[in-house]
Amino acid sequence: MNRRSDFPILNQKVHGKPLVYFDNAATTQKPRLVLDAMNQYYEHTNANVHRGVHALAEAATEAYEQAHRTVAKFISAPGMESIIFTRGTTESLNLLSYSLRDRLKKGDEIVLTRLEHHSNLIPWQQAAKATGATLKFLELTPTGELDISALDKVITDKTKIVTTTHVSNVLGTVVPVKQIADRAHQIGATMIVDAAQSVPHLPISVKKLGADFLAFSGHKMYGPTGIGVLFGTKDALTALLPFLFGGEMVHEVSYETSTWNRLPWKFEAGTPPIAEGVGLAAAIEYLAKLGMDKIAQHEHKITKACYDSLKTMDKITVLGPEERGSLVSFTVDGAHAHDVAALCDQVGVAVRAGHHCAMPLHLHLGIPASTRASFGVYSQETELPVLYDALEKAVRLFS
Amino acid sequence: MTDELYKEVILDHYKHPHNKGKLENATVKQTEQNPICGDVVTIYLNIADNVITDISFNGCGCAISTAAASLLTDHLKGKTIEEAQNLSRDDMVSLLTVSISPARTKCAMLALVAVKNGTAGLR
Ligand SMILES: Cc1ncc(COP(=O)(O)O)c(C=O)c1O
Repeated sequence: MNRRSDFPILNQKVHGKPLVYFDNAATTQKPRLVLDAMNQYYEHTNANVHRGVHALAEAATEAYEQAHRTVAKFISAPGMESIIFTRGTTESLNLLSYSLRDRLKKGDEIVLTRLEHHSNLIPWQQAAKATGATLKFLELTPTGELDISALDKVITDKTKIVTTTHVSNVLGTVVPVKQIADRAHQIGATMIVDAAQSVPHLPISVKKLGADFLAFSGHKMYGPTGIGVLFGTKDALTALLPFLFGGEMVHEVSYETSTWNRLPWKFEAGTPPIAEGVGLAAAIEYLAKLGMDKIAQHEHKITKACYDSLKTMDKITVLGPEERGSLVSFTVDGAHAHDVAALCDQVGVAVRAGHHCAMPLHLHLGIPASTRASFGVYSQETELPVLYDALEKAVRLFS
Repeated sequence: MTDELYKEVILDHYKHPHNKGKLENATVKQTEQNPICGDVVTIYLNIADNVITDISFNGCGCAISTAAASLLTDHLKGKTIEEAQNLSRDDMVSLLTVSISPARTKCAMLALVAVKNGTAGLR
């Protein structure tokens, strides 16, 4: 698979070297057809949705609703009513952490994992503070996998919410979501999945995962920024209170009280990200056409090649388990992640350095920061040696 | 540029930093963090009659922030608090003798920010 030419931005030099974009876990680049779809929308269709009876309003509404259907089909959700557009994973998870608070009381427990991104940790810290609930964590094994043997001990009758990342954005760990969901459902808890790092890289079925809610971001899957998704089962969404109030999300309004619109609009107050929805749908059609199985295979191959090579390099420590999502994080002895990333940048390789919005996980691992190479549909094995050369230089300079 | 960035003086100060370690009974102890990369620096100062008589630093950081702390602590020994307070980003860059991109400015400035915040009330 070589999709480089689909992405205009990749055709450039950085510091005089061809751009090697290995920062896909932070955000992906956009294929020409996503840019075109959004332009097309603005040039021919733009109007507010669900409001007008004029031709443009109807066309815009149809395009926006169709985008919900496209997302639903992509993750094997029943239909449009199970798909809420938000601003991103972070907003989706915040929505849940507010709207689920009415089910939490003192002594209840929210179960997370040690892997969580700040956006699936801090909202629950806040919910716990507000309600008197407590946070509990599923621990990691020494190799960075989730210690599933403790599942029944950690998830108990007191657990009301279980929330986990599907793929860790630092260690690459693939979490056995289904097994956790089964346990959560056994005791009647709500199961939430942060799929920001899985939906762009793996075939996803919300049914197979057993998720009551699932969140992800458009910009990490070749779509635009400013749009994300919250999937919820019909039962879960019906029982959930709205989070944002205003136009669009209401059915009947008097000065005293209001009733809520039907799903999914009950959760989409105000003018939504319409062009972004159109762009996201175009990105999904692009991915579906390439085939998520094929994409997963392609990325698995390059990830494995990178993992295997870095494992053999002196002074480099790879973080996380061998079986992993499309990313490899590592540390270089004696070198700070920032300096490693700066040396990579010098030869045109974009990688991420820092704690990747997972500060507690880095503290837990006992490292101040790490460097991460993350892959996408356009990544090529032939690009890897440029990274290796930069890392050898980092070892030479700093170790 | 980056080859320039990691020239000998920076690498030397990174690998063999000057004035590294705690000062017992320091007059001032000030810690600053760069939450983006996890860099932490603590500055220790002994001050007598408005003059910095001794200074050291501790912490963990990238080559730029460590070299900056090393060079800055060398520079500030014997200087007055006013002189320390008046140091600018440009002064810090000339101490480092390399050009610093906006992305690395925080690293270069971390130790100086600690010195300034630690001595702000003493003037
Ligand atoms: C696992 C995980 N969850 C959540 C997020 C937050 O996504 P966003 O910034 O798009 O809201 C990210 C990405 O930064 C992530 O990697």
